Amino acid sequence: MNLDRYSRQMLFAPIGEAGQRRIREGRVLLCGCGALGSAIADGLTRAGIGSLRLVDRDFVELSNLQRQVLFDEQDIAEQLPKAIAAARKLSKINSEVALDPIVADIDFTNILKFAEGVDLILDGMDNFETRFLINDAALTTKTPWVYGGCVGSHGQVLPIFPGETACLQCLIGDVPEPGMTETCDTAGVLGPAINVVAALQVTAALKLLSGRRDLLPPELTIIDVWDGTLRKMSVANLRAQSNCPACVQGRRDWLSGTRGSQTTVLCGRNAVQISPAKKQTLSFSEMASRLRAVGEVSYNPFLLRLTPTNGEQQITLFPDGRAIVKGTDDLAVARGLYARYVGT
Amino acid sequence: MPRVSFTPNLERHVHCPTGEAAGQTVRAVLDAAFQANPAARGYVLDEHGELRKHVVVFVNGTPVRDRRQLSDRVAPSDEVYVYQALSGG
Repeated sequence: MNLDRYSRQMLFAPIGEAGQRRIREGRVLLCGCGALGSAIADGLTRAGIGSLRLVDRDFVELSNLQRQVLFDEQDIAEQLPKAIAAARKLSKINSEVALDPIVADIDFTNILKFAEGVDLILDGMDNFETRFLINDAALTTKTPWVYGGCVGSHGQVLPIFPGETACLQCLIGDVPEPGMTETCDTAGVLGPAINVVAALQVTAALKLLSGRRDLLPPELTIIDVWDGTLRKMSVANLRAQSNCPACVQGRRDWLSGTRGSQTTVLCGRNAVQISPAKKQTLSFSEMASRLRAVGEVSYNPFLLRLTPTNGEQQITLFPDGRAIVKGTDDLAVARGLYARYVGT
Repeated sequence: MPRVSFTPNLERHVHCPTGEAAGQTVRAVLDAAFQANPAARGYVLDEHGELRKHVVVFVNGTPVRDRRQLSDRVAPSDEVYVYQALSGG
């Protein structure tokens, strides 16, 4: 194994050549490839991990380019899903990393398959529901994972070692009620905040993958790039005092499908995602010929886009029947459009 | 007096600047802080006066044990930090 390209990283004593060799064997699942996810994927790929499975449900849009470092205007012109666009860039950055891009919505039916055979899960998501699902999957497979969240100029990171340290549900018992937290919709988000949070997540990954798990104490790191602050909060006793339904009592409400919705408002997008209960296999050529009567249609192997003639919304349809309806955050409107144009 | 600060994303959402608040328990300190910043109360406590599920209160960097009664003791030199989980990414 030629490690020349990692010479600067190996010169860093806590990693060294032995650590780099371990990093080269590391297998990572990255959930979400938006702002956090693309910065994480970039960092891990340059650092030379062994394999990276990227799962993302979305496609590249112009408003992403302010902070989503792997994407460019060409990706938008080609209407590429983020996982595909990211993998194309990453393969040019480091062809030694085995990349496995997957265009899918992570849900309770598929997450264990995605998590199979990985050493670590990194969180690049933009919603609590999927994070609780990742938490359940990590507890079940005993896979370490690193939570990261970001809004405005503010971010937070928590490494989680299932069965050993506090899990996400120890920290936050449930998803917030609507309107109780700022979102990207209401507070926006700064690229530098994303980059700092992603850097902390990647650093945690490098420590773990290089064999320095001992350097990851049970601490919640809270940063604010506008204020220039960084705080560390101990969560060493949190698991013992939480009586957590997930990691102490063993419940898997999210992984069992008891919790979680099929229809989701997408953070900061004025868009709604609809996931059919049963996965389908759509023929885009047939759909396109049918839908051309009602609006403008374009498609590629990854997605089909419909802009109805008499409407303000746009529907992006994926081969498994999942759709993102843009131009509304009203679930009923989105479901209605899906039913009208795609079927139920 | 104990020093009380709120996570920046909450601080930018409702008026709740860092300041001092009198009290010997987390409940008393928060009540004093909410007297000065009443709009913040609903984002931290639910209708039963308990901490909301996605909120954690840390005293000197350690999470409080009693999330319902908020009876953990607070010394005058302590720092109370109100944390809220973030969804974005």
